[in-house]
Amino acid sequence: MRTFVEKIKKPLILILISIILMILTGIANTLNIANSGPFNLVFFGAIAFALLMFLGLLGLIFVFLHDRVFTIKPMSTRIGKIKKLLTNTGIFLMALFISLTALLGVMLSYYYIRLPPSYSVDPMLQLETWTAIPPGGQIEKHHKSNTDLYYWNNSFYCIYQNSKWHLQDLDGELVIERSPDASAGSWERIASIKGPGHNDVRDPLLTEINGTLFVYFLPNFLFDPEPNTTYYTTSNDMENWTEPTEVKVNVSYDENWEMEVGWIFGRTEPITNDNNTWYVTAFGEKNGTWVTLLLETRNGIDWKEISVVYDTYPSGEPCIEFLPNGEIISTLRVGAMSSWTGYEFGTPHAGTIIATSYDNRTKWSHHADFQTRMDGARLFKLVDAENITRIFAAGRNHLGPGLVGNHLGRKRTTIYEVKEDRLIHVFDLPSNGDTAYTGVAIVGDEVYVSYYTNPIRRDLPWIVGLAFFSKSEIRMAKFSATGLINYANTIIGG
Amino acid sequence: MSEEERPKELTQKQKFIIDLIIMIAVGFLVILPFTLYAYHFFI
Repeated sequence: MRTFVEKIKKPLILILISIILMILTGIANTLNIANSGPFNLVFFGAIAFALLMFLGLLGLIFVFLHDRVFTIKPMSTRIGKIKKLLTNTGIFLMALFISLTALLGVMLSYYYIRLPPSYSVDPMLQLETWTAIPPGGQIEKHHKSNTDLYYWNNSFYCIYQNSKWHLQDLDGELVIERSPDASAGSWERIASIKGPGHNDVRDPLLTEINGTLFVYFLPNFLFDPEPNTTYYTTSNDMENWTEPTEVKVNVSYDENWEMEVGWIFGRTEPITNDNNTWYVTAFGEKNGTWVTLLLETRNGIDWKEISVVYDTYPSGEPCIEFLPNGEIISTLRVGAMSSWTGYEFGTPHAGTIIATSYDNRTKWSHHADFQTRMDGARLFKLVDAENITRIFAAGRNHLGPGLVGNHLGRKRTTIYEVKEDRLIHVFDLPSNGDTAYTGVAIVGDEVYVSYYTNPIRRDLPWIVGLAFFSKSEIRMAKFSATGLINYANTIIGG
Repeated sequence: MSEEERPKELTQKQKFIIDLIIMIAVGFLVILPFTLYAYHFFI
């Protein structure tokens, strides 16, 4: 009979090969060698080492339980053989459960150790990034997320969600911090906003309408967040805020108009180009269909539908920006442009709809782009040397591996140029894991982008940063507007 | 089989050390994901 040590030799060899593959795959990822796109070396490396590790752990744990814990003896009778078979089956199932859980532990350890790639960009961008608001030492508030950035009265204001993690936190809050120059260490907490009897509050939008400051935000009532309405609160000094009130929208139907709650504001704060009418996009259900609407207001409180931006497939987190002719361009996050929703593992049909209005914002044309699904984005516009308006987005880049939306995929906060028919990838900001949900402020020739990310010394997959290593910080990126336009001009296809 | 050819049996101490290493390594890997996820519910 073989000894215990001889029996575990093969599982140990499998584990050793897996560890070597892990190291090689980690190095390939850090050196940016074949590590992006839906199917790549890092992806197949991960599948191979995970499989080998699982088989090695299963063999090792089965032998250990069989020989060292339950010490099964050979039996010659029929009943004895049946007993042995049943016992071995039980041990196998136990080993299967333990090895699958241990594999998860191995993967988490691997991702925790894996180093990120370098985030080098062209010097003409004059990019600087830094931690604006660190996670902090308070473990129940170490997840900073969902940013918005607003430049007002010569100061920067950053509003963000302060919670323990990405999933539901009934003791969360929105925090406003102020800085004279957005630099690291200069941010001062000046206000906290909580929901009306419910403190899982997220996705804040901060703006000024007719001299009154507004924060619009979304309360969340589910463990896996899915807000279903919008609230607002007002202030005159950025420090004292009124009790939140639910937003009501006047929605048009065939025969009449109805005042409704349950409309979820998108990622862009209300915008205006005449200081008379402000526009925002909101998504919700109308006539049993999930639609995104363009709304208008004169006072920030009374909202009225203007047009349906998009209703073909369920979409969310719409962003908007004015075009020079007064029309509006919008990007919408679309989970799947088919019935293949592929939630956990992504889908090839996830993407971004770019919608452009015409006929005074009453009608919309559409193009689909499948290189990314524009989550947590913000649009901003710049005017180039030839007086041409250029639209850019700061949003989420789904790097893979796997399909767009894959929970194990890596994501970055990224700058895109937005054309009416496509997105153009410009550059990635230092980010990983759970990231994006940006805010943008343009001051002079400098573009400031706030975003959140797991600490950038690692390269976590999205789900790992979301559910396991939930600490995240708010970073600030500053780059030259002129440099961005000049660099975008060099990109083929731009 | 002569005395030289027979594989050497591990001592009780060696067996104990191997058992301990396996239990600690696997125990750590099993507890890690639960711990990292579950602590969010207690804070």
